[in-house]
Amino acid sequence: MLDAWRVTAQPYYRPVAEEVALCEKAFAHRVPLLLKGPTGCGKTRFVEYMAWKLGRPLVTVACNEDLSAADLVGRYLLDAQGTTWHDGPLTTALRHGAICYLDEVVEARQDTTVVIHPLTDARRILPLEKKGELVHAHPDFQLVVSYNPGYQSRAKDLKPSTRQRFAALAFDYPTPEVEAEVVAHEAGIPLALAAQLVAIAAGSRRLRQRGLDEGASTRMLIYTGLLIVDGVPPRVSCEMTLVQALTDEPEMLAALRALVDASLA
Amino acid sequence: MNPRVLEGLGHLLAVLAGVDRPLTVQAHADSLPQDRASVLTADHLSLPAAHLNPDPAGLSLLGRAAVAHAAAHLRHSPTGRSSRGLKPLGLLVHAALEDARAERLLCLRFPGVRAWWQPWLTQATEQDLLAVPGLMAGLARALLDPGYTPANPWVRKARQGFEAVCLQHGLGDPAAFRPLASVLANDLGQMRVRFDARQYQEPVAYRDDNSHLWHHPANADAAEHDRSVSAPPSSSPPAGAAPATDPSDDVPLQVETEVRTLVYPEWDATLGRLRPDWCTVIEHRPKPVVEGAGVAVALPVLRAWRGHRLDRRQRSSLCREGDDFDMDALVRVWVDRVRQPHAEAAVFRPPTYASDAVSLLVLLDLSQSTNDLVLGGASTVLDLEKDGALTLAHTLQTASDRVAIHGFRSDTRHRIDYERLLDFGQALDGRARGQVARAVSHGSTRMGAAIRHATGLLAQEPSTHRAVFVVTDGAPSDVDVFRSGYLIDDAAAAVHEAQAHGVKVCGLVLDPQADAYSHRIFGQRGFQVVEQPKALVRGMQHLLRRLAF
Repeated sequence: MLDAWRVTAQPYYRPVAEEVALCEKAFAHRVPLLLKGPTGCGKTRFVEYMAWKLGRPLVTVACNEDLSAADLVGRYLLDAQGTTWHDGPLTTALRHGAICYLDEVVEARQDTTVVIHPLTDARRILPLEKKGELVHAHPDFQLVVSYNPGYQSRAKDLKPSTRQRFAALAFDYPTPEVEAEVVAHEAGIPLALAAQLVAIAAGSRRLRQRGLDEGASTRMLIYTGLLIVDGVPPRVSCEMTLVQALTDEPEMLAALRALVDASLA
Repeated sequence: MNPRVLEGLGHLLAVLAGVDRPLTVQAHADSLPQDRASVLTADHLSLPAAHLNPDPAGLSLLGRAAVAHAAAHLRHSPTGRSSRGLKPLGLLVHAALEDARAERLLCLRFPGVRAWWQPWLTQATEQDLLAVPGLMAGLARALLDPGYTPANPWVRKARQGFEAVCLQHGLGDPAAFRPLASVLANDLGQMRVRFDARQYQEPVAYRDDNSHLWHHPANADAAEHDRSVSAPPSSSPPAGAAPATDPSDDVPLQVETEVRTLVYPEWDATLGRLRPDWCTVIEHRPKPVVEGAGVAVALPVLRAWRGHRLDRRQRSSLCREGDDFDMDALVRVWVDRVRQPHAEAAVFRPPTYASDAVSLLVLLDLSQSTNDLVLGGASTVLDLEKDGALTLAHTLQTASDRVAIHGFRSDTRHRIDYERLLDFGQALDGRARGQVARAVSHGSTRMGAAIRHATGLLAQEPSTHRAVFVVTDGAPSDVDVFRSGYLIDDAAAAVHEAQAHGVKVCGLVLDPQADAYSHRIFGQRGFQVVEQPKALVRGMQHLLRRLAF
């Protein structure tokens, strides 16, 4: 069951601290997990890795404002025979012992996210009112949610009553050495070049103090590396994936371009 | 000199230097001779005008070379070493070795900067300078450019000595190079080269004057040098600062006012920090008085400025017709039809479009210059500002948003008058319009303090979207400030602080020359220039749309 959602190949994940062990312990005690951190720093990759390591299927839901409770839990659909109940992703994971990963959970409406409340306390049940069924969680079911605390406007935030049901792991960009390893591996570039790209990203993150919304993420560096491997000159690749992608302000563009120029031999 | 270039160079310095404290790049003060070399301190870099000509990539080539050199010093060079016991020529040689050491260290981290410096190192030697400048040019190039073969034996000796020290001690320890510097300076003395420290010009164009490296104990020359590049008079009491005795201060408001006095900080870009409790804002709030209605002129309402956003937080009720099915209702009706074949089928749910509540504070510039006539018109800038404010207020109140109209003017930092002409929640009736119409203008434009006060007032508003619209006719200025750009930087800092509090600040600028300063204060997309009265309405619509409520 749920074979389509199993992670078959080992995803590359470079641990930063004790997060793998902590996650395993949380899972063992069925504690729901909240992963928080900036965009593109490895949260989703971590969840994939844990799903592979623990041998469980992974059901991912990309949350957005249009997500209703029925989209998570399930609804009746019409077919030739009449009406049939179809489980939503949350209920599927619940029944079959998969990890349900709600990505960017604050994007969903708050009246949608409250459906997870009965799942996150000791009872681990999900009432399906429309169906008249009470689903008990499979022992292997695990709930994981993620969000980026720096990004959302104040209107979108987790309700305290929701937040407190989770144990949280903070993610951030790794140290320069580790980040270079990750970029080198994922993009297939030499470690020295990866280190140069990481230095550029670190410089761009410093510019947050001077008005840049967000510095370059690890993911962006991987894109840069992939293009370089394919023959795009490094400065041109950086211009596309780092400089122009981060800002439109002319002064900031000029400064980022100069940073790239300074960082590459 | 392009202010955008300065800003871009400032960003670059912050990134290359890798320090957390704020750093500023500025142009030499007008009083300084423009051929004076750049000057670096712990918080700012002052560049001559020649360094600031922009090139297509956006930054000046000489400027970025200068910034990289400054970054090298900020990262690697110790400051304030005592110059006791060192003669002028010795100071020069020690500083030159330190320049090379710091630059080499920066190249290890940022390999691309070497190419930035090379053109000027080459230029320095190709000028064929004589005596000390020629020797220093050769020294500079020899230590940084491995492809250069110096003809002069002293320069060759210097290069060999430098490489030997590197091999033995590495680049990390500045003190390791001092013995070599002393030997080389001594050689110059033996060669009896003529040297006049006062006339000496640094041959390498991007390098600074190294004043930060030294502390000169009780040296009159150095003190004078420092003063000529320091900030403008800041603590000296400005002329005419005594408030309330100046006859022009007679604010001819006939209505009784409640007055509150508050102090605010001001951002000093030269020092790179806020001056606490620097500005005094005196807020005037008219007490409610029953008065005859003013002239009821029909005000225009701006249209088509509000973006239509899908609001999924509200769900409208079901209808019998529409574009989008509601799945659950459809299923329910299908099931019900088994029992009630002709039941009403309301299965469509139209999408809702709603916008969040908006609180807008229109902040009018009530300075003397707004008494001028608008180009090509018979009304003054102040009249135009008032019309604009009333139109905005009328538009927003019609849409049941919250709006306020406040005004400000200043007379030195000790008195910034802030008038609350129309407050949030107050209806725009005849009395309120009269209040706005009666506002008069005189004094100066100390914008930063007014923005800070406005931000504080907006912080109490419950709406999701909160913004300040500054309506002004010129750059911020005041009678007690002499450094050009000082109040512009302060206003920019106030806008930045407002953003941190979730308040957007935009500018409606009634000045054809607005571009020079407006983008620095309000950001690239945060302002609209209006040159003619008839363009006012369109300008406001444009700006409202850009705010993307």
